[in-house]
Amino acid sequence: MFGLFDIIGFWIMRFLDESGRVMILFLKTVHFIFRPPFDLRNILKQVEYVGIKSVPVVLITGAFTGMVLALQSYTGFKRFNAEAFVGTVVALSMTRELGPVLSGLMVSGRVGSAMAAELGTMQVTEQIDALYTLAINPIKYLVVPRFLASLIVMPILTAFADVVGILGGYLISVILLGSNPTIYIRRTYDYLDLEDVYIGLFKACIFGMIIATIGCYQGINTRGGAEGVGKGTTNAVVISSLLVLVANYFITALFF
Amino acid sequence: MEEAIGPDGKSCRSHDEPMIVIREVHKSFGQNHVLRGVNLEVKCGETMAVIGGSGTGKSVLLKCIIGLLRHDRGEIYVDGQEISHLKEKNWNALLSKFGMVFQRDALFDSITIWENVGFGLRQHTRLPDEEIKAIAIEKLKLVGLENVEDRMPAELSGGMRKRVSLARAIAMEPSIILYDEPTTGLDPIMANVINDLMVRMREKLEVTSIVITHDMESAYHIADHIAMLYQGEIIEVGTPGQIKSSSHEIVRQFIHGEVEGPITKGADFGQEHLTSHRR
Repeated sequence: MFGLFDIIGFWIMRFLDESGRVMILFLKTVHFIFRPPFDLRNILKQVEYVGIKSVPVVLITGAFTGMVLALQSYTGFKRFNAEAFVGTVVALSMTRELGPVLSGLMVSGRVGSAMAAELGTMQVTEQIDALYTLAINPIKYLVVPRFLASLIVMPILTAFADVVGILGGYLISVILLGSNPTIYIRRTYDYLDLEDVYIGLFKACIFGMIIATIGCYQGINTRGGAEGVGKGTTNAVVISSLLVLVANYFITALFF
Repeated sequence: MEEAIGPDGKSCRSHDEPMIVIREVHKSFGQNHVLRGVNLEVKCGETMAVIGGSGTGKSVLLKCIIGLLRHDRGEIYVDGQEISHLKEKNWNALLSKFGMVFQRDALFDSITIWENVGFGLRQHTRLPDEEIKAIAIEKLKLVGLENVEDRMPAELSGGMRKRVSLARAIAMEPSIILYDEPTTGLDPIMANVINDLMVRMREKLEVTSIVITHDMESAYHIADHIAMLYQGEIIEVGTPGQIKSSSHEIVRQFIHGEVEGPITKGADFGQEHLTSHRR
């Protein structure tokens, strides 16, 4: 009977332990962001990797999300003669919610896993130890550029997703569903506040920090060769995706 | 090979001075008590080989010396300074005294050879890239490598990578070099090339070296003293000649590679099953 308490206790302790370590990595990263020297070259390299190479994925995600939103909300709203508001729904949903969250999930899968794999491989081949012996702090050299790149790039990617999503919704509404283009655009502007866009971009920043922190954490703490790298990569994606969704709720509630 | 360009002046005032002193050092990983009171002294400018079976804690000891691991108990003195309670900002000054050659090279695979060798210089000095590349090429020449500076680590053979790793370790002109099984995995010729390089480092650069190895030929060739680690303690220290003629039964079993003896008493390596199959 006590075995059950044992197991629950073990998992609670493990959860607290891991959360604590992740938090420590986060705080150390923030500390090193402000400590010179500033390695602009590395940051830009990561911005290119995290950002520019994620653009196609995010554009496709945004476009199809906007399009399906238009279809679904039309179907629903038609039932009470509110089809004219499809534009509003697409705009608000994309900017407040789907733009940041879906971009976050895509980037988590693409970038979070890459960070975990790259740092994990470095860890099991002793490259991180080698950095330390050359008196280079691995957090400053490896984590800070990735963290800053994610922080800068996520809101930009989200903005792209928002634009493309609204455009996708427009195309579906006007071309497929025969809505009046002027009314669609009017409705989009009338009911969209700048605040909606800002909330989405703020969420994107938080998600960027989560993805980089979890990805780097899993990488640096990889143990056990190729299998360990595989596990770490999977964990990075799953954990950062879940955290994105959880954080999304709390941020939304905060601004409610 | 060219004349070595070592640090200005001697790093050792005398060769009797201890450079590294390890006193009663303990290190455990959970229940596994790996180091159980290690005592060792390495004199300035000498090469100390630490031998012992696989998994006996040799790498752990090396990592405690350079601070990659923190020992649980005991004292470690590096160049007169005790390092157990060193604050973080003082670690960098200490680390600049060390160079380390890892067992699997640990070269940074996404950058070129010269960027690997000059990595420390790039991070810690304001020298322009051309100068750093020139210094890297010079260090590569010291280890017998030419025209590899623009290649990537994946393009080189194991022996070449090991030498690049050594070039990287000496690029910042350290006074102590730590080697983690430098000849493991190399063919006999390459192993001797590395052995010769280690001897040359000692002669030309006047560095103190600690070499973890279970390659006895390498140890006899390069070391001034050999120390054997067994069950978490140093059980014997001596010159290569003294170790070869040691009367300690554990040392004798190890250096002669005897399968049966006190170290392996009770362990079953399956010989009985083998012999019954042959019948």
